[in-house]
Amino acid sequence: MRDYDSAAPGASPVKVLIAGGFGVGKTTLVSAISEIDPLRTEERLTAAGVGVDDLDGIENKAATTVAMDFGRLTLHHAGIVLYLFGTPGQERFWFLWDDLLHGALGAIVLVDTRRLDRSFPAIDFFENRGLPFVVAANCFHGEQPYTVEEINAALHLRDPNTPVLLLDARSRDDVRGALLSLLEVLIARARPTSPV
Amino acid sequence: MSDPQPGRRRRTRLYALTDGRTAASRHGLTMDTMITAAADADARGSLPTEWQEILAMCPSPDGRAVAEIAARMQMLLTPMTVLLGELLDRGLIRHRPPLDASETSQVHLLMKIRDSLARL
Repeated sequence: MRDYDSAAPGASPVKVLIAGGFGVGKTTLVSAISEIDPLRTEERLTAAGVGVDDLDGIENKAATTVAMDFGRLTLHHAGIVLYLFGTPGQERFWFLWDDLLHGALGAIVLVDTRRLDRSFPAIDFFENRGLPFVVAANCFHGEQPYTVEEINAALHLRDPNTPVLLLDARSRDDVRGALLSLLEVLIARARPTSPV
Repeated sequence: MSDPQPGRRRRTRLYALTDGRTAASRHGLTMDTMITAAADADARGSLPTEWQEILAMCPSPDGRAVAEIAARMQMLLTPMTVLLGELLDRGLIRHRPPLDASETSQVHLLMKIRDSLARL
């Protein structure tokens, strides 16, 4: 940050979060659109947040290692590299992880309509922190027994205009559609303060 | 939960890679900061193997995010950030911070991203 002359050339990174309960298909969604095979990165977190205590080798029982699968999508025309980070399964820990949320463009909350309650923590978290998001209901085996309206009503979304989409997390087109929907939300939010 | 590195390949002690430095956030490096090898990093042969590996995986101009380097090097994020701070101090790498809120709230940029996505 301090010196501009060491700024890297090339595209600028932007982060998008892929949240949702365990087993809902976050990594599948990432791999559907990523230009690389999804990678896994890990961080050691404590109740106090990200500490450097792990550097001294002393075991801290309050610490846990969280893992995120992520992928990359370079948008050459926009000069942007999208990094799609699947949030870790251990919600009570990643909710404390400010670095994960900081600078994120927005999020896709992936839901399994058979286990809707598993998506509530992520939705509550993003609503409370003001991070724009869209809801994507994964259609397992290509089927979705509920309508968008039914899912919307069951989720009690604070903003009734939050997009709710049906998608197949394995489909590149569907995932791209969810990202496009998120961008439309962001554009709509940005317009009042910075008109074209 | 227990050992974060079961069955992992060889480990070099962190302090050996970082000269004992632990000031992870001094450079403001985050998981989504882009890292590129500096163009004039000729004398790589004398550098530690891990450093050479890192430089080789983030060629200019595209580079790689900190998280990607950490994943490929099989290191946790924070230790990798410390190590990259050391490389930055030695002028071996350059970094590009992620776009901040003032940039990502610009309609023009958002529309560009949308249009690029639509063209995929």
